[in-house]
Amino acid sequence: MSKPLVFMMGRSPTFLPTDRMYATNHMWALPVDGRFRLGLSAYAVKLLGDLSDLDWSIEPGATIGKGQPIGSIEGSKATSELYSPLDGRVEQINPAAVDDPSLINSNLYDTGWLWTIDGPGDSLLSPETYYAHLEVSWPLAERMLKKQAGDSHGR
Amino acid sequence: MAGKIAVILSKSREGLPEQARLEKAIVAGLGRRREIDLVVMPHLYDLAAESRAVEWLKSVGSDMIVLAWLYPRSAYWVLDAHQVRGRLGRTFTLPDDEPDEAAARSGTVVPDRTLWCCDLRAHTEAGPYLDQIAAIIASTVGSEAPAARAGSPVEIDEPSPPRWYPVIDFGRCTNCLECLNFCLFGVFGLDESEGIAIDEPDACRDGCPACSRICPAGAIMFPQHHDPAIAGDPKASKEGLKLDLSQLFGGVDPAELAAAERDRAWTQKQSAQRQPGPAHRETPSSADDLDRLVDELDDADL
Repeated sequence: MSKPLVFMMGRSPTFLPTDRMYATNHMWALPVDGRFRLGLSAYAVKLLGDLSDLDWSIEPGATIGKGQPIGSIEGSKATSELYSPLDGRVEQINPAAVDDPSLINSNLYDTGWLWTIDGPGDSLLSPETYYAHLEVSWPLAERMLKKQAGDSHGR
Repeated sequence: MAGKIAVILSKSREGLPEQARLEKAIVAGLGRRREIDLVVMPHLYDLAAESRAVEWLKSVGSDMIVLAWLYPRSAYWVLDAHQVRGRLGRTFTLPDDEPDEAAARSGTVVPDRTLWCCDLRAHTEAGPYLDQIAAIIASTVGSEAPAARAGSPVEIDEPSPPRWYPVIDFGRCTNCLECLNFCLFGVFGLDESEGIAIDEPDACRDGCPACSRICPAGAIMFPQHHDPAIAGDPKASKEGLKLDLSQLFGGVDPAELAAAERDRAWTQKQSAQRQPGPAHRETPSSADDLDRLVDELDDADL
């Protein structure tokens, strides 16, 4: 496998393996048996911190659309709703990640996968394009996070 | 006979006329009740460890009623930080769902007495506080009024510059040491039994509540923070402390984010122009705060 791309979040490196595709909502997508296996990118995991809760609002067999809420995740630093990056049919949900979300921290690109979807995947990005997306969105994300933190900041 | 009850009136930090009026009305209302020893002192949170007020608090062996401009939970754990301990008593300012058990780190001796902590922000009139104090006196001292003569209120008047430091709720703390690992300023340390301790409270960065946000148990309070969940209000959700990334994880186009940000900035600017006075005066300080926070978040390796 070729070397991963390294995106710097401030002084902190995040690795993006080049054997897979990515989505603008910070999920990776690996083609497996004609379907896409999806997980969170190192960028997303770094923002969330140590993961403690993963809840799904969808079940295998459900047909969903891009942008549809599919569940929520909670880490030591932040929480987030999860949204589908693709149109398609939900195939599997990784029970190991639900049972122990810390698996996502320890093995985010492998056994810490989240779910699989059967769909066209035509909106997915190459690692290089996702890297370029991060270059644009990281400064905005930083500003947004600082504003959120600032809103509840001391007098 | 149960003896006298110490009543502590901890004055407000800001000293606003409304606050001073309430404090005065309570002192006047307590008059010369013989069942109590009334002591007026500076704001509880600002008291230094070596202050006369703390020395006096530590010398009290009886039950205490503490009237302070703090959530009862904050006042109770500020006292705990000064080794002033007991059961947390229930008052009208203490929500029902909050435990009134003595909760402390293991190995700490909690004396068999009650500390009733009343939040002076709960009511603008003295009546409810005076009624509460009368009810506590009735339930403890009873009709056996102490023979001692009524004394005048004592005021411990000493300079107490505003402080900013974390207060730990040991009823919630799980000793996970996240705060110790997270704080960049060396505020936290370990006691002899490897328990979390506040080693250098005044090394804390003024205005920074970050350790409160990362504490998985919601055990760290900054009583002077404007967010009730951080200031020690048990009713406020701990979830509110965490950042919500849904907007980022929704796959929103960065251009849309930028546009939204621009629109917000525009709206803020418009409203600032409509209210030139206070808004302009506040701008430099909140900008400073934000800059500081930016540095902290960068350091925190978010």
